[in-house]
Amino acid sequence: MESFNDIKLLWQTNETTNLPQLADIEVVMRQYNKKRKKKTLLAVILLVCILIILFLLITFVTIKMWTTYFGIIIWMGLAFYSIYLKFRRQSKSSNFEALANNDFLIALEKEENQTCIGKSKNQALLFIAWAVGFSFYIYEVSANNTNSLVIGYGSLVVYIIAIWFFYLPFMKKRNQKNIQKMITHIKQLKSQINE
Amino acid sequence: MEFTEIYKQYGEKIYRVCLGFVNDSEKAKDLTQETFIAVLQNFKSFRHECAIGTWIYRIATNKCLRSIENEKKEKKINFPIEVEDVINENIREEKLIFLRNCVTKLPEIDRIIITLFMEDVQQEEIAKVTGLSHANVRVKVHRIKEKIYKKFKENGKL
Repeated sequence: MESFNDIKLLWQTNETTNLPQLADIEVVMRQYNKKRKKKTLLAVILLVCILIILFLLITFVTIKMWTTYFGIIIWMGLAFYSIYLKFRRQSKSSNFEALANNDFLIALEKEENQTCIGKSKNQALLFIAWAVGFSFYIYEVSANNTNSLVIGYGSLVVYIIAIWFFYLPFMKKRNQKNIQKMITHIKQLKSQINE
Repeated sequence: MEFTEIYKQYGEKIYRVCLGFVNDSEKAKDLTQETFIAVLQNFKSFRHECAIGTWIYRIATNKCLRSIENEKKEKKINFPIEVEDVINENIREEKLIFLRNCVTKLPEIDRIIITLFMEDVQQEEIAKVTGLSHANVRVKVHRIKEKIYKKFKENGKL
């Protein structure tokens, strides 16, 4: 070996027998599309189920107060939103995969940060919506009975305190911890580019 | 250009670039597969703002950069040596393993730069893939080449 050119030629002799076959890629692609269709179908089924439950509640349960309807509507909205969160595209990173490496790393870091904030925000939002819906829903049941009223709303307050001061901060910390590893890695890569 | 043609032209190159990054044939295979699935998925929306090669290399290298779990590994894959009896072939294989280990020990961005360079990608195109300036790529290529060449020399692999 007299020059780097020989090293370059040596590199090009790397075995590529392990290279995936075109047919394998097409099979994986078909499986991926199938999975995506299944996911969409499942989301549609879940949405239909929610609408059926809403219809049954309104038709067969005697509801006298608007607060109960309001509570049900909030819960339904919550259910729709949860389904949306569950089935929306998990990552937008494929949109910027064709960027140059440095732009990709910037976009990736931004996305990871947004994911972290978004996760915590969504958890808080879902929790608030559930508690508000519940407070409206139980009013009709407990309005005529002081004991039920105290027990119902008292439990709700305890639940809110537990979730707000213990569960949500814990989840936020956990989300941050998981994403921090990725962000540290991205920062380290960015520093290599900026060297 | 048909996808089959693209795969024929870039399949092996992408595989070797991924191999240089992870030094693991199975992971390189997975990354190559993921790259071409992304190419297949986005082929219709490719707007020809850059050369198709640049576009594919960007996808592949970004996939490599994202594979966090693969970082800082200095191994040691025993690629099948089919002709153990042939001394020359063994020497070549030994040098190749040494070269792969040298590449794996480089920082991630340097790995991308040198593997693209060894795949005969022009420095201007490497600059477009990495987002570095052409001058910066030129300097980095020169430094990495020197580093690898020196290691080969020090270890009597020349």
